[in-house]
Amino acid sequence: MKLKRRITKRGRIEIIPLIDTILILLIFYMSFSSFEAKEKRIDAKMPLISKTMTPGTQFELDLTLHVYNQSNILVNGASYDAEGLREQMKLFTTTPDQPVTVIIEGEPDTNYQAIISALDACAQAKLTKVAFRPLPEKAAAPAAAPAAPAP
Amino acid sequence: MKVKRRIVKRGRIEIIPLIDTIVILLIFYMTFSRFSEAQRESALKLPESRAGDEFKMLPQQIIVNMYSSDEVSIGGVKCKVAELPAIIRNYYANLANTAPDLALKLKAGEVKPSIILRGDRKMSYRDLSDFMRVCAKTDLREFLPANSAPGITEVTFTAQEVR
Repeated sequence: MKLKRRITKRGRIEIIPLIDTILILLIFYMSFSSFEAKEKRIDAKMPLISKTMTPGTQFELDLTLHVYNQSNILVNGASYDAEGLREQMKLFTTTPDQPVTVIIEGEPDTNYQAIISALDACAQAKLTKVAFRPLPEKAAAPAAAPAAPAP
Repeated sequence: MKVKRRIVKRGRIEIIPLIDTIVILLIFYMTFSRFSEAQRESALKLPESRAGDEFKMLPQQIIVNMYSSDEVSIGGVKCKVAELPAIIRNYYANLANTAPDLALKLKAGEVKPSIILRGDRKMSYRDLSDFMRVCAKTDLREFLPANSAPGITEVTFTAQEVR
């Protein structure tokens, strides 16, 4: 009896579908990698502390953060950088009998990143009562130099 | 003379490239629709922070993208910070038509008007101060319960997680 030889199919890689798949995966990862950094939210109630505040509004002014820049944040007169501030703020704890209110104020050219770092330090220390002291509405224009007296 | 007949090629649709193209378009639109829906501008460079919760937008919140006092955008519309009160008032006034349930909740005091600030990290405190003052001055009392504070009292700051 003559035995029939089994035909073995040779496997081969299909190049075109492979390129298509790689391209799709590439687009997918490129799209999502740019948004990889997670966005976070830091909630804040917004009482503004200013001279024009309506009478009757009371704030417990416990702690004032004056932000000059990322490496110079004054807390009740002492200067800290963003890292040092995180450690310092953990010393202040809010209890039901003694709530801590933090007032953040800055210079006109203080970077927003530095303000958020101060807010971040408060959030990490679980200090949620945060208020901002806004700058005066219009910066006073520099006084004009007096005219030289006539000889 | 024998006239040669022109051979007409029959057109046919190639299925595999069609599927490839559809999948690519689907991924593209799925990716970008998410960000347009959230009113968030991806060009904006947010400051970095360690603390904070996962980003979540509540129905009564408006997203304000801010580069400076002169360059603010809400829902793709560019404006200045001084023009914000009119836009915010307009938004809450339109709620009666677009989301009547939400308008009723606001009037009953169940929810509070709130803004999500997405500020650029290069923005200054002067810009933030202008924004906060505008929020405090925006009079929304007609959409809120009687004896409510006039301005927006809740602001959510957003930041990017430190990598």
